[in-house]
Amino acid sequence: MLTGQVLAGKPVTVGLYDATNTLVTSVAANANGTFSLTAPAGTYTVRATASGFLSAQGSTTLTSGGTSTIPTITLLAGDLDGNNVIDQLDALTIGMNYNAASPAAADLNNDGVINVLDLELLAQNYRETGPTVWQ
Amino acid sequence: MKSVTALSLAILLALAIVVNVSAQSTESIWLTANTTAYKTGETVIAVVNATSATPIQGFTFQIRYDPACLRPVNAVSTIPGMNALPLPQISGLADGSYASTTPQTVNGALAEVRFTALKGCQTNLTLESAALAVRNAEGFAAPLPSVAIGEKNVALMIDKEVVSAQSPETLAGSVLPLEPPAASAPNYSGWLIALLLAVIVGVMYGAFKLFQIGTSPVSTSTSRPTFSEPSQLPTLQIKHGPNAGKNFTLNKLPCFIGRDPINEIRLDDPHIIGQHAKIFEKDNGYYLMDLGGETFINGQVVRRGSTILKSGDVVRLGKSALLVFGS
Repeated sequence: MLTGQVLAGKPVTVGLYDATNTLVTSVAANANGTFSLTAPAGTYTVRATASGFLSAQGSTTLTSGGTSTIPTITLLAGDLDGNNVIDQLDALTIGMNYNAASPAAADLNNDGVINVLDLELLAQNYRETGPTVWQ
Repeated sequence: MKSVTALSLAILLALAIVVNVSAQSTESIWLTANTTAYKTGETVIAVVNATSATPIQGFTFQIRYDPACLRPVNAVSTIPGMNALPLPQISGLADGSYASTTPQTVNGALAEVRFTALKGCQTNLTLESAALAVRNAEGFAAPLPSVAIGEKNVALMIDKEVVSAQSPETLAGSVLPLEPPAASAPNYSGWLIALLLAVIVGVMYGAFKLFQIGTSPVSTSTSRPTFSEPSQLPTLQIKHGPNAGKNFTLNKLPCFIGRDPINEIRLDDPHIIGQHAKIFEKDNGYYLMDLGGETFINGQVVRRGSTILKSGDVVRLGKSALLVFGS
């Protein structure tokens, strides 16, 4: 079993992928970001995603009957289009949809409206690229 | 024979239409400057231009400059409705992003980027990247494909002769609107809107000139900052936190901000320290200095130093207070 915690202002999904990058299992993290995943013993790629955030990715090895814990990680807000870089086009999406509610990926603080608060979150991570190393 | 001639004419006509459509759909971006010879201390105005047959909802550019020769001052879009998105800048690269909630037609200047010439030198401005963007069906910004980048380089000759410091000119752009959109406006005709804009710009310019010749109370007033009335003095709008909705006109500088009553602007916010930050004026610019609390400008931390403030900058103090600077 794998346990851990992923912090983001939005719902987080954590998945385990095998050597061929095929999804083995995934789970929606709890509201506080904690999660647990069960899979057969082996080495996996673990990936955390949240809409509008850079994903985080690491490697983990599960043993039969054992529990592994991966360090807590905070996802970086601002990758609205999911291309693994927080760039000018992500910022433009906020500007084009100002005071609207969609696309949901642009509502980075999950308060139901796309505005300067979301832009400020993006600005903190401007030019960051992903996936963030998680180990 | 007649049918062959008719067919040929039809083909020619079709070709002409295709060629015409092709010519109209050409999108391009290029860089120009108002002039290429300057003296030290003068303002260099670089203009990002574009033509596009497709109305756009945003554009971006990155202009490489030599920070030893030029210091960026500000940038605005000249397209009505196109708002600047305040994003962190890095030395040597003027990074501009502008967006509109509605499609805008562009044919000419997109944005003006102003620099101050620092010393005698030969230097270049280089349009390193640029894009025109539309809002796709999912609501995301998407670059228009096949936009040609025209003239990328502008060579500048800066003379070492120093002129007296120039004051920034009145700019007719805007930053991201921070208020909810107004109710739909009546459908005024274009000339009426242009007339209104001209009057507004004229009034702003006149007020700005008054400000420059020293009739402003900025340097002489001993009063506290006031809730803002229509004014050309710098302002702070509080957009988030316990004091959201308050607007201040900075009619006394330096202006201290913090939780203690001794501050010119007192913010009753548990995440703000007694004396959190101050705004002061220097060399015709406004600066924000952090005094020990958590202070960010456009998401970039300010630690025990001062950073120049530009109109539209988003300042965060502590964890919740979000202020927008206007000048």
